[in-house]
Amino acid sequence: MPPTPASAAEKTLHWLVAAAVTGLVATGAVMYVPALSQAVGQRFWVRAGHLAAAGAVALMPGVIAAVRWPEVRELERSLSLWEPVDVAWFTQPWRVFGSRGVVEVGEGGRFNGGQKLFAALITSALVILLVTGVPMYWWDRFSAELVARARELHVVLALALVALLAGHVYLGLLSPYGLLERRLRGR
Amino acid sequence: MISPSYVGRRLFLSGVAAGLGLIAFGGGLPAVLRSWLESPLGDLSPSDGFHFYSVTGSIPGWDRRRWRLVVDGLVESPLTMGFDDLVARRSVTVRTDFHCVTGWSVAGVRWDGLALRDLLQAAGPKEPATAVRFESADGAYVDYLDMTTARAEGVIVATHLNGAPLTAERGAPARLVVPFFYGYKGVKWLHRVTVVQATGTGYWEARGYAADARIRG
Repeated sequence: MPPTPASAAEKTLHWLVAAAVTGLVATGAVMYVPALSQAVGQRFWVRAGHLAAAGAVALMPGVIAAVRWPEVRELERSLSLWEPVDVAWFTQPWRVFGSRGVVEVGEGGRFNGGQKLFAALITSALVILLVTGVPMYWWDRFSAELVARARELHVVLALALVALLAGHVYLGLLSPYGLLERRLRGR
Repeated sequence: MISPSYVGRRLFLSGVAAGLGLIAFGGGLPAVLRSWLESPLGDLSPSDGFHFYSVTGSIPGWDRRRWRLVVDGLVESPLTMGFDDLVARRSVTVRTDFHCVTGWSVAGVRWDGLALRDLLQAAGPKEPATAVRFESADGAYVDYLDMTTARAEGVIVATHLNGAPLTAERGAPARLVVPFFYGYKGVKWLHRVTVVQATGTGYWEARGYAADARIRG
């Protein structure tokens, strides 16, 4: 069965969130890694860029859902609904990372188990990152202990997010059936 | 064999609930996770615990022979002190935890320097002075303390951190240390101390930070 093409709303949502998350990772790295902090400086502007990107991640899904609700609802359903074949995917993940084999998808025909797990992890991580960012931004309204706790979780989740995104980019772009490979082979 | 169900929604909600629970009720990260964060990722995080913040793109350079700390404004006797003079007069050691508003802290930091109240006493503030303005060497970072806070115990112009002269990243040759305030009040690369009639708006206060920088317990 040929893969169902992504809807316009799905593509828009994906690339807008991808751009905002890229901005978040870049500005977050500059604020966290001392060598980058020294190389770039400009703390106010880096922080402002991080906040703007966080605002975009928070608002864009809501805006797109409001404008194209049927498509967004369909996307959410196809990512949330797990079938037996999705669970079976986890017994052979190397088929995704290392081979050129066809990966089975469920009746919906859109996403495999790995993609569904990725969607759940990345969305919950982004929500928690936004929530933990609140006491870090409005530090004067929270205790120092809570701000410190929020920051620790923020850092750990950000690192986990980067690892997840690295896998996502590899599979989407560089893997045997990633975008580049398919373009090179004319598929 | 499982039947089709909306597992993704449950995973998402569970992840969000776990995160919120950790923030609200958790005792911080588990020790294992913190250890992992601090060791394999050691190159990403600073070895002495301090992160580096600057609002410009460079660190002000300085020359030991030519650098001067200026104390001026509403004072009887304006002062100009060289680095060696400042070091020779350092008389106060402050041990405190350093807290940044963004949530990171460094425990048990030792600062050595000259008490700000002694510096002000030497210059002799005069009426109608009620505040002190601090300026970094590049002029980009400015902050204020009211006179009572400036004269409080533990407020120093530090030249040494943990027994060693300040590094450029930590504010060399001298920086302000206010142990009961968050770190953004500690002007690095301190160049000028000016006694003024009234307190003003510091760099970060002008950009949304609260006027009260006292560390919240």
